[in-house]
Amino acid sequence: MRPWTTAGRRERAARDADFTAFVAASSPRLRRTAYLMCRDWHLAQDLTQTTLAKMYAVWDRIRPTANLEAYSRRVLLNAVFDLRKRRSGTEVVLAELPEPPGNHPENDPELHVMLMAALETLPVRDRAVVVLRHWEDLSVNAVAEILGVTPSVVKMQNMRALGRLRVLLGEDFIRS
Amino acid sequence: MDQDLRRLFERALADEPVPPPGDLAGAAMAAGTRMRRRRGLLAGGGAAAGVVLILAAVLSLTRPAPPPSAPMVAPTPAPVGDVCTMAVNGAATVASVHLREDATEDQQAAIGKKLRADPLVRVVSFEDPDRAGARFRVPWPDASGASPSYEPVAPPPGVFLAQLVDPSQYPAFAARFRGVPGVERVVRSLCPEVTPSREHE
Repeated sequence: MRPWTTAGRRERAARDADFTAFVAASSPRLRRTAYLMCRDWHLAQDLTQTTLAKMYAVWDRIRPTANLEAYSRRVLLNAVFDLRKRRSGTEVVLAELPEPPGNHPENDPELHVMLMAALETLPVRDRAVVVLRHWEDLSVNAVAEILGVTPSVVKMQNMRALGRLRVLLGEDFIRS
Repeated sequence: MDQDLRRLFERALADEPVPPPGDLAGAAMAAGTRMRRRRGLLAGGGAAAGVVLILAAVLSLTRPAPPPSAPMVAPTPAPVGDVCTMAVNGAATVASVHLREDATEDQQAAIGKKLRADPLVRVVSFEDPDRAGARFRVPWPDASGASPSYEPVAPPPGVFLAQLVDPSQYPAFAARFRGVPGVERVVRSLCPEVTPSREHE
């Protein structure tokens, strides 16, 4: 479709309108998932914008695809993994694990803070599995698809991650 | 425990700030267009040429690459840089191996290693978009000219520049590298101070 013809312009406008609608619908959730991965709202916004830009760059190709939401998660998480690699081992956000709940019973309301700190100590891909399974509520197969691994790897990483969280957060975590 | 985790996540998200002002979709479209332009997928035939290039890339992954034909859309010429200052013979051919946007660091390292080991390659250099450091924000004005609070972060993908010992062997060289994971495309250039000979079409 030649872009300089009227039909071409109409086609492009429709394509852009589709994309704008997709951005409106998906960006809040993308940003929140990004935040849970990196604990920085500023960075989460940047990652969301990068993800959307990359999707627009191939929008013609992926637009007919059934599952743009899953595709967006894959692009977002690859951007997160890539960010960590570029910083070669230094933490994107330094995570200091606070005292275990037993020492400060009055801090129980802060359990979510401890959860986030505990998440930071996990390998980044385990963290992604936890966020996709337990925040995005995606199935094992959907998570496997997004991360490009087998479902059994997802199950193993999930179990390992939850086990670690239990150890770090103590009994209160299981009870609450 | 699933319910508990979800509740905790929701509490962790409770301090979400109001999204910054500025047109997120518009900024994404502008940045995405820039990415497409860098890959040489924008020009008269736009989407059609893009499909041809993508098909060509897919085909080269599944069978031996056909001899390179003239691309439908002229890609952005690669900077030839100091690879050319090391030219010894008269006609120096430089092959630029462009990395994909989503190429990983491992893939990049593997490509560099393969280039240095290739008998056809005399000199290799790498144009690293990250050389300026962890450049996190690139100013990107919106339609009204004002800079939004948040800007795209994606740096352009890197390019390897390889000077070839024997320019007539370029097709074989390109065939070797086109299917390599992380490679977006391979383009041939000539060093600027050299007059093209007939073997360079």
